[in-house]
Amino acid sequence: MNKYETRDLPHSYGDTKIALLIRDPLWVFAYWEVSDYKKHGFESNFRIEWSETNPALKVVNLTENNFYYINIFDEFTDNWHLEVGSPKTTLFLEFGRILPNNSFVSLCRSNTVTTPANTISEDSHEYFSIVHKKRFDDIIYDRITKELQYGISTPGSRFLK
Amino acid sequence: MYKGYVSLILHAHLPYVRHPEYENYLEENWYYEAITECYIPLLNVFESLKNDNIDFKITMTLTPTLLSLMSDNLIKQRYLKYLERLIDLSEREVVRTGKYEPHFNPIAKMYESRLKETYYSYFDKYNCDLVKAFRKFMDSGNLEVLASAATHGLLPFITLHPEALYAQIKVGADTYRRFFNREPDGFWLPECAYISDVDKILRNEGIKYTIVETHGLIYGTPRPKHGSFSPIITPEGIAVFGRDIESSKQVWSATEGYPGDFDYREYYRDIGFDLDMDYIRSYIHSDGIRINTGIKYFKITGKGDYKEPYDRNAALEKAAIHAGNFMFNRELQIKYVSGGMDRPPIIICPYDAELFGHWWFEGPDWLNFLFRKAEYDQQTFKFITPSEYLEMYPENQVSSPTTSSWGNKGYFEVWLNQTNDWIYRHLHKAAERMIELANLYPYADGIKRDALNQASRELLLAQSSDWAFIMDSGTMVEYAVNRTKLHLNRFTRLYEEIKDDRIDTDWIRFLQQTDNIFPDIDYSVYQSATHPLCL
Repeated sequence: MNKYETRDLPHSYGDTKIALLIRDPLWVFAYWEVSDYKKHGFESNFRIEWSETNPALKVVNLTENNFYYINIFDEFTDNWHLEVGSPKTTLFLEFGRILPNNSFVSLCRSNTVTTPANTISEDSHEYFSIVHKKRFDDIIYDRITKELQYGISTPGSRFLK
Repeated sequence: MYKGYVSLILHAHLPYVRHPEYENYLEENWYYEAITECYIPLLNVFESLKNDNIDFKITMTLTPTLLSLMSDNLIKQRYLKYLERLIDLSEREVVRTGKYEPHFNPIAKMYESRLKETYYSYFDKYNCDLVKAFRKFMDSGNLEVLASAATHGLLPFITLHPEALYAQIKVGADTYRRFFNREPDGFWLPECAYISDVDKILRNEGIKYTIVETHGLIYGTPRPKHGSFSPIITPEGIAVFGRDIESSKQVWSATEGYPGDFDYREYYRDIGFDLDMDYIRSYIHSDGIRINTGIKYFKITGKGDYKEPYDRNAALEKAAIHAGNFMFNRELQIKYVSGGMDRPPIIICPYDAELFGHWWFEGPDWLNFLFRKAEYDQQTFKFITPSEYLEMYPENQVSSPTTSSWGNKGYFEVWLNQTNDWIYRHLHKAAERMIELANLYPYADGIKRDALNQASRELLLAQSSDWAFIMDSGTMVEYAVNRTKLHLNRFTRLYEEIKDDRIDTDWIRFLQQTDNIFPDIDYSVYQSATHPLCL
């Protein structure tokens, strides 16, 4: 493999985004980036230098209906392994800046994830079902309905043109 | 009437290791070693069982990347050269050990004879077509092959872009149809990595069942009443089987498992490392890097460095004992479990196929003994495929499995830690851009179409879970890092050239020949309007 084609990948793509991945029932991973355009917009909206604010994550726990903040002390940090500490929890993150007055300004919001279970469910309901019958009827009907174009193959259509 | 069923599932997979740009590429050996030590020995076991009228049933995955390697003409030619060189070495070894190390001479003769038989099998019997060789056992009803994702992408990390998730599954299922000319019943989730987002897409592809790690099933909601001893049905109508813990440990565990028995062959003592450089030079890598030749003279012997010569007969006797032990334990397990069930249990035993023969040299022999013993020595259980079980017991409890994998610690830490977390930013960006291209140019033709199709290939190749796995494992890391960067850099250049309408035709032709997987891929699989999660 030649060196040019295996050169380092860019540090960022000029986007403003944060993405969230599930690692296990207790941990998630986030990466983010903020575009220069967004930084300038932020500076002019809040009339403050970017460097006078601090990066932070807002962790929004939808299962427990609460949120908390994590200060990111290093300006160059662009990813975080986050211990959420609870399985079967639905959450999302926001990346933003803490202003000198301690308020949080959100710049981007992540996808929502649910951490996996790590214990046996207390729900012991029993419903029974069978495998879908996609193969035997849906596929056939999918195909027919995709091909179906009203009027084209009706006997009278050729005379109507 | 049997009290229960056992399903052996061998997951055969290798990443797409094809490097036409070099005559001798180290990582291609992964595939050549796997053919010699695993795939052909397995086929020989199937053949011998068939010849002796043993009604064996086995399930396998042959992943799309592996099928593509098996059918590639360049790789076929290179494998023959590899094997010829190895046969030459084995002949020299018979002479050398006869003179200087007579205690190794019978083992050297065994390798010579095995390698020559392998050549005969590959070249004369199978006509270099391993796909056809496996298909023969599918046709005879002994082997069920599952489809899998296009390049073994870790699907839970692709869910951010449903179109890309769809592409991994759709291209994988289409590759199965192309090679086997039939619809897949089962789908192997790479790394058994389950997330509920896959259900709807699997359903759309007509998939009936998949397999998850034990806790993926038993931590499902509602709690499956039969544990992992019968499948559940997801709300989308996909049957999900759970891996059995007990049988997994017996084969899989590095400490308690059969492969660690002291009579079995020692994997880590290979003449590629042990013999003088002057002697072995022409049989290792051309750059002088020592590699495994597959010729190994010692048995595991014990935990320390002291090793004794391998005794083939003693090892085979041990394989037979272990096959008997495995069978006996399944009988006990089934008798115990079936008492509390309203149907016969199914024990799902999935393993990496490459364990059999490559890591565990006697693995194929163990399998051979196991099928024979199970046929003649017991009446408690029958080997079966998951499809056959579903035909007999179609109605199962509805439950949603939990997100999980079969990797270390049971979730995704293997593929998401500080050695490999950096890749996802780039993989996600490439997926986003591929969807953008597919939506922007829905009716491309000519060179633009070729470029779009090639971009799809590069993205898929970058998404292989193997690269993150290798980065985590700590060996061959540079290769995995470079493969990730290579395909992403190629993708980005394609993206830019397509958008700027300045496509370098010669370069596209070069890529089509180099990264030539999925010859009939259609980039429109990435269009947002067509994927099932949008319907």
